Amino acid sequence: MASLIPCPHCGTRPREEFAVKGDAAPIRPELDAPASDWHEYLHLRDNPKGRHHEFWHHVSGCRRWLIVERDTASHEIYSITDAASAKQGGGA
Amino acid sequence: MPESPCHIPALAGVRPGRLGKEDGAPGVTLRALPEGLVVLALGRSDRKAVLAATVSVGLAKCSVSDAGFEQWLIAGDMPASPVVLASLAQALAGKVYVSDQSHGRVRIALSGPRSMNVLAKGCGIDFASFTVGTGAMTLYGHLGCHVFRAEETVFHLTVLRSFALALWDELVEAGREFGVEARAL
Ligand SMILES: [Zn+2]
Repeated sequence: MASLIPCPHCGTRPREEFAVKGDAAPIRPELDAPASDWHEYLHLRDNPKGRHHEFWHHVSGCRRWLIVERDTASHEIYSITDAASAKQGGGA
Repeated sequence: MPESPCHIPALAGVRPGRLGKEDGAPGVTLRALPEGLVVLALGRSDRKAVLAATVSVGLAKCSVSDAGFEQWLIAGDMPASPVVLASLAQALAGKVYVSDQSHGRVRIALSGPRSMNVLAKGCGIDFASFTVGTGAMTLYGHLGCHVFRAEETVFHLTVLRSFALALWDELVEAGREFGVEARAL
């Protein structure tokens, strides 16, 4: 695990302040999507070695959801954005 | 027997006096702050605007500090009367919501020449850039708290009421090697 996360709102903080949810790539299916789509969305995950987009929640800081682009092998962090702002088209 | 609820401060039971290292001046002083006004403000605004609104309703003695993205903590020793809270909400209406936390959060003042050493034992914040007037939500050990730098060597830690005693005890333990002067309410 990356031991320091540079939160766009709070600055660099230790990972103890965060909760990681996992892969940020899957897109939630429509409510009436077939069960196979939901099965894939809920249960099936790749386990890549290398660059990975992940959801991280700054639970003990600003309490914002972040998207962290991180190397799962070297723990290097390439980018970090506010998930809600990114969804609305803005940056961090 | 009629019920007669009475308010007992969360830190009413702490033991005052000198703890830890006994010789020399105490490295840190711990003080239970009055259970006064604690308000969380949330919205699309900035600290200056929230501060201006706070001053405009007669709360100039309150501190207003960052508490996360678009959130600010307003805190002071004065009682959180319904009238004051209503006028604060009014002054910020339209942009910022206020949430009265006076009943739910307790403030501890940590001061003295070794206060930053005691903080550094539990917090992951880079205090080199944490100037006077800065505030931030963070962890002390495993306890979520808000840290506010009130003066060069005075920090206010705001913690959920039920964790106040646990945080107090952790600060005492962390401060023992420097000598702690504990002051009850
Ligand atoms: Zn943050």
